[in-house]
Amino acid sequence: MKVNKTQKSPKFLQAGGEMGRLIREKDWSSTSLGSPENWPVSLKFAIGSMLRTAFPKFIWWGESLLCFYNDAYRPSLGKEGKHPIILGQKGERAWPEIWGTIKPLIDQVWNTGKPIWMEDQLIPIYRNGKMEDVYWTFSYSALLGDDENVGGVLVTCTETTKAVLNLKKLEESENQLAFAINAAELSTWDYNPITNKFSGNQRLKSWFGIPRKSEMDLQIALKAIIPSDQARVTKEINAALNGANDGKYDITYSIQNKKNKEIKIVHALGRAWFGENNKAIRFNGILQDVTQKVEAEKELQDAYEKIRNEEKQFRNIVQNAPVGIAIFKGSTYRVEMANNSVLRALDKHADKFLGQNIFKVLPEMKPDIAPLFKEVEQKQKSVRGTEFKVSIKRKGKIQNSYFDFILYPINLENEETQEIMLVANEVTDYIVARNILKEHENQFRNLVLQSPIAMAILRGKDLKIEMANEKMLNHFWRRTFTEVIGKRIIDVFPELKDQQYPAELGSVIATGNPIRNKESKAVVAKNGENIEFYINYNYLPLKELDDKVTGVMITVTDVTDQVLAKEKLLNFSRELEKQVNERTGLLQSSNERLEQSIKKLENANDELESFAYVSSHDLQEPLRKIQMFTSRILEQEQLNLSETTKKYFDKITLSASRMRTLIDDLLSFSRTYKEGAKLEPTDLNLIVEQVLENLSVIIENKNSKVTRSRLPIIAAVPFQLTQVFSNLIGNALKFSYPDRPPRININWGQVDGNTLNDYGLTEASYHKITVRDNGIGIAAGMEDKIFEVFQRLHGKHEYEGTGIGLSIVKKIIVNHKGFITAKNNSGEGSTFTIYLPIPYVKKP
Amino acid sequence: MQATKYNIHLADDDEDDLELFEDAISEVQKDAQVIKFKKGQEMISHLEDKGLNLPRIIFLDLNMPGMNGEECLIKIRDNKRLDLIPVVIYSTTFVTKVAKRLASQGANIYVQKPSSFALLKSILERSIQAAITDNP
Repeated sequence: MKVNKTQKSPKFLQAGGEMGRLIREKDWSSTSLGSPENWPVSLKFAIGSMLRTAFPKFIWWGESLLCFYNDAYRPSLGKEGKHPIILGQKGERAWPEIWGTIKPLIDQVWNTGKPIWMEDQLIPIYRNGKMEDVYWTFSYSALLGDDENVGGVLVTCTETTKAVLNLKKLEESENQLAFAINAAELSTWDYNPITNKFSGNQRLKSWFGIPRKSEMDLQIALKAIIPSDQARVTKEINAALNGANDGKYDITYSIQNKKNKEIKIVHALGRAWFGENNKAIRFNGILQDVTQKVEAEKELQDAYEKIRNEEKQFRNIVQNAPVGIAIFKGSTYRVEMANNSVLRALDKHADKFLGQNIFKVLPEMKPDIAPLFKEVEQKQKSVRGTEFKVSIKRKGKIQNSYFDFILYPINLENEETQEIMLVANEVTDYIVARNILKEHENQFRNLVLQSPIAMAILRGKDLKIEMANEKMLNHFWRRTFTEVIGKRIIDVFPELKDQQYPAELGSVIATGNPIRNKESKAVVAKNGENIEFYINYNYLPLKELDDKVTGVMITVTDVTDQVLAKEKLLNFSRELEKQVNERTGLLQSSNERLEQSIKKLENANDELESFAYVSSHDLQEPLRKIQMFTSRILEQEQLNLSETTKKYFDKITLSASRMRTLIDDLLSFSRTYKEGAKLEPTDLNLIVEQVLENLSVIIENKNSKVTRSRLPIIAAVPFQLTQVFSNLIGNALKFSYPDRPPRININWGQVDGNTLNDYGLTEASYHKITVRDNGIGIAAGMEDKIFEVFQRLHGKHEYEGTGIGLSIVKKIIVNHKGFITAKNNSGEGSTFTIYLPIPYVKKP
Repeated sequence: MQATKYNIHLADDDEDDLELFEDAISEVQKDAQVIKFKKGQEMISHLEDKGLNLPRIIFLDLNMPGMNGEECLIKIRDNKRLDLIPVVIYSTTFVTKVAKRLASQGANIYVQKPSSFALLKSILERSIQAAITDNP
């Protein structure tokens, strides 16, 4: 049946795309559905809505599950396959290859009315001329018919084959990558800069010794890096994250497993990925364990370094060896190599020596050396020499030098490639030193032999005489050299057995300690006669190089004369000491006698004192009687006495009176000598008052007037001060003009000691006490004399007095560490000035 | 007027002095009677005789054989009955130190024997006066 193409298409098929056209053009009359115009309304709606959908849809309709699909679905059917044949076909016929799979699903929807949802289901279909694995994500849902029962099943599907295959491919490639990573023993890491989370594969975590949990802060992971590398790694990470080097990251560093402390060197490769605003959003890469590689490299480097060092060291050793090493090549003996010792010994610089013909450079050595080279060549054997003398020009001078050497042949077959190696050691210093030593030894030997001090050398424990000089042989030993040489000392001098010397010598050998003694007695026998010496001696150990003592050197000095002289001196000293003791005894006894004398003197003093007392009492007693009875006679017999007799009585009275004064004064004077009188605070006011009281009769008689200022309290012997004022005031009264009443003034002040240095006064300050009168004054030039004993300045009869008074005054004042002066006043009379020290001021 | 005479004791080993003293007293103190002792011990024994009239005043020489003046003074001052009698030391010499010591032991006056009779009289008169005034 021909389809009318102009036939107007039903509305639900209009605008249905290619599939709408195909449905319209298909002849449906042969089908159970019939012409589309007559299709159930529900089918029309379903197909109409399907055709207008851009999503792939498929409809099975009716009992026979006729197939309908839209344009969007069509591609899923491929180029050669079901399209467009299956349109309107029964489902079973259209999808035989999968009918077993999908029929139950369709039935489930048909029966239950509930939709089914399947994702990425593999449902292989025939298309493009072959069976293809096709993946679908689809839903089956029920379509209601006009009778409101299920009339069909709508399939909404999308082919996900591409996505699934991509996913599969990705999975596969991931697996491959993981395999590769695993196989390469790589760690992977991944860091999200935004969340600061870090993760890695299990290998990385086990390397780092960090927990197996999926993510952690970057800082925790960084802790696995050894401290010395942390800063460097952090810097590189930041650089990559900031986009440096296109975010590429390539660094080698060391990590330490926190748990097992294992250290690994790792090589990190990675890359940062950037999102908007060039902000890093991802940073990931791998980590390779390069520990062994690095260590191997290092080992290799170390080994290389070692070889280099050893080679260098060897070269150094050769170059700086204390023995000279040189190699000469070819028939001209070109210098191939010469070390520092050779250059130094030859006084050459390497530049001008290496590569040169030896004898061209050192012509002066040719006569000595050339024959040796020839000898080596002929014998084909090494040639040796010791203390070989060579003339060498050093610093412009030819010198004799000595060498121990070996010339060693190498490659002698060919004249041009032949080499002679020289190993030489200069022994010039040793030879010179040995010569000097020999010379010294000779000198020493001569010195010993010729020494004026006796010397000998003994060897070995048995003390054999090795050497003895003339002095020793002649002076002490009294033997010839041949008599003693090589013999034991004890055999030569058996008498030494009883003396200390052999034992001492043995001790020097045994201990190595020297022995030295002085003024020791030694006895040597000669022809049965003993000769005695006093000797100073020294035993010095003679040591070998290994410090072993093998001998003793003896030096002996004869001090017999000194010792004897000393003994004499000692005896003399003893004698002297004895004498001194005797004298000391004498001195002691004279001291005792002196002491006795002093005692006697003291007694005499006491006697003198009692004598003075006796004088004052017992002498005065008769004198007083004379005066007393004279006065009585004069009183009672006045009328009976002639004038002459009266005059005689007067003379008696006067003489007696003078004698009495004399006795009193002498007594006073003697008392002032008494030392040790105790100073006590003495109020001079009281003293003067007492004196004036004593003199009151005279004062009244003479109508005198005494004025005085206040006086101080001083440290003094009171009765002596009484004496002073008594004498001074007494004098002032005595030496007055007969026709003038005496005027006496006593005054006190203080003066600075410095103004009194002329008087020999040294204290800081002094009392100045003046006694001034209006009397006859002092004769010119007599101001000092009046203080001397028995200086009387006036006629005996003019003024009474003994001439002792002022001497007593001066004596007392001086005893009190003071001074007294006398002076005439400008008008009349005189002034006596007393200075007394103020040791402690005690003002009145 | 015999009954009204009072006693003056004098101990002095010097007979001349005893005599001169008595002469001087007889001239200056007509109502006094001098009782003389040549030894200190004699005077002390006399004074200790309780039946006796006590002297108005005692003069003591210092230098006497046996008991000397100072010892006499101590005896007198140790005796309560004699304690109040004035004692005048009457000596040839005057030594301040001795004088002070005696004063501390109870001597009332110390007079030095003078060298003229006139002076003697004057001294005795004054010292008796002073002693009696001192201790009536």
